[in-house]
Amino acid sequence: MRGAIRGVAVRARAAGNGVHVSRAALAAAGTGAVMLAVPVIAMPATWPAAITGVAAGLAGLPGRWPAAGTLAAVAAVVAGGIGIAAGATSLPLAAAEGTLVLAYLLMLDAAETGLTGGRLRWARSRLPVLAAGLAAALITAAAAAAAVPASPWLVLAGVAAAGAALLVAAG
Amino acid sequence: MTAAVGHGDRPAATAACDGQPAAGVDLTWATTAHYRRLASVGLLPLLAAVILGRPGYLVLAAPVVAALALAARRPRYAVRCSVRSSAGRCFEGEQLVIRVTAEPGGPADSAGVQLSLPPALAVTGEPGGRGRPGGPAAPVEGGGGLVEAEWRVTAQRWGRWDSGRILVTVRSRGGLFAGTAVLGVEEITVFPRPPSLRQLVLPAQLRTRIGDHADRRPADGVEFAGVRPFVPGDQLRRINWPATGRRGALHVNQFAAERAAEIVAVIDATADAGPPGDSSLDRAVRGAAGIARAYTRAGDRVGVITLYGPMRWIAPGIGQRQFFRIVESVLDVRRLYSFVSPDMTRVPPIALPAGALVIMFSPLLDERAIGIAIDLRERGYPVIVADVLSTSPAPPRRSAGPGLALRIWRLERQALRYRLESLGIPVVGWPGEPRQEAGPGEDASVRLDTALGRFARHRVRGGAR
Repeated sequence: MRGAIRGVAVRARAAGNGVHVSRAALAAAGTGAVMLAVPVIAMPATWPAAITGVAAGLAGLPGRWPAAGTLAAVAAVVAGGIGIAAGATSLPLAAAEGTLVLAYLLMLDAAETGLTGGRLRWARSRLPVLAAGLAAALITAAAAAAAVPASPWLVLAGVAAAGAALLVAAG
Repeated sequence: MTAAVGHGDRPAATAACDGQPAAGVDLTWATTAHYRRLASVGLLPLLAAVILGRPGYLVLAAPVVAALALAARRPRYAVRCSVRSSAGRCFEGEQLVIRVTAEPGGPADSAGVQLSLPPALAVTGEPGGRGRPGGPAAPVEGGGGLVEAEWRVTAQRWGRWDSGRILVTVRSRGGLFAGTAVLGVEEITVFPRPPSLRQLVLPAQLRTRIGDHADRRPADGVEFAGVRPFVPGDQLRRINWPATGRRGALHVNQFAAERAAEIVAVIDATADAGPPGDSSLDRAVRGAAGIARAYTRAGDRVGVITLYGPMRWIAPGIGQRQFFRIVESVLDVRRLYSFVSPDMTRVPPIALPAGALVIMFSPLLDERAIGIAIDLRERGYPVIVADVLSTSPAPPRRSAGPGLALRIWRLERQALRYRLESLGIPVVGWPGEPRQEAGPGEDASVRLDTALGRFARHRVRGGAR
């Protein structure tokens, strides 16, 4: 029993008549705003996708529509993808955008489940994930930037990596 | 009745926890919404990269895919849990404490427990609501370590309740998987709260067993019963010298015999009407418990017969143990409904001794029960019927004459009462007149004296009519 974390009753989130927005939800909304702003800054023509994302993010803010957060993230990915296709978004910027999407999704999860273990503990557990995501994005950007000639061996290596990932997940 | 019947903490779990102080329970793991969200957001640029042949899109997907890969392995650990309740038996209105501890057997983001109860039990004093009967209580969550929860539960309705459940939820490190386990709370037995009865109703004929009530027959009691002429064999110390001096012949005092009464409470379970918690069956069982407690405390012999089809009975007995035998026996009445007609001729004499006072708690809705009351009276038993119906039938809203239908129904009830009383079976409303609507929160634990008090002045006669 010593050192045990005493359970605390979780407040009913967005229950009843009143709309309760937690700090984590506000933080997620802020991260989402930055996530949607980055592709628009890089390519202003992507504003319809960004507006869709903002609307979805705002609609999902009270936590009553969980799919809204996913829609906002998808909107950011679409806007980023348009920027990449148009050549307006550089690969390092795309890596930053991908990391922002990940950060937004992590914040969204925190807002939905509540920070039961404390903010510091949550940040400590999620920062490595975010760092790994950023590193993966930068490595991928570097690999994409390198001029690699088409090779069947490369395709085979990709398929093998995908199979290994599946095995790890199933194990 | 302020203390729960049981004493001390005891394990109240479950098949899962097996009553051990802290046992491992397997969790059923499933992906969370977070996992599905990451997968769907990451899949979009991956597919675009493959289909359109643009590796640049992979850069957008890489962080999400990396986050998935870091915690994609499905956890395998169990959760150590224990469920304890302060008592497994209590009376209506008393409180129990249910304590639950849960500790994930591996790394976890969070763990939580949530209690769900049957409608007869209410969690009191929780943040989510006060005294809500049944339903899930507010969840108690903690970090990835040990979670301790304590709920105060108030028993609101008698019966055996074993449908309490505790949902244990564990979220794996990274939040991609959630494990759940359902624990059962061991059966909680809630005894009916007996209403008080201070003025005991007695049958005119008391049996030969020694007790506290003065009988009309002379014997070696302590209560003065009269004076009679001396006969050889009388004790000299019983000579009444003033009466001897006045009458010129020896006279002795005679004393009343002190005998125990035999009471049989009959519970009519052939029909149950009224709101849960204050239905006619609830009232009947509480009334029978009140009879059992009052008479066993007075040293009388009390038995119970339950009419619900195949009859069950407890032969009259004495003492506190008999009281608990009776309240234990009536707990299963709600579960054992049957369409078989009860046959009182099958009740053995030991369960229904000759001359015993029969107090029948009935809503007087089923002809079988009414017939049994009449049959018992015709067999010479003194019978009192306590009408426990708490509600009137609700006529359809658009009915042409709802008031008229209700009036006819009430007149029929009055005619039935008159018919029974003309047969020598007094009918009393308990706890109130059955014509009055009982509110859902009405306290049914009123005193039985309000209904039976008028019979306490003179003894209830039986015998053939």
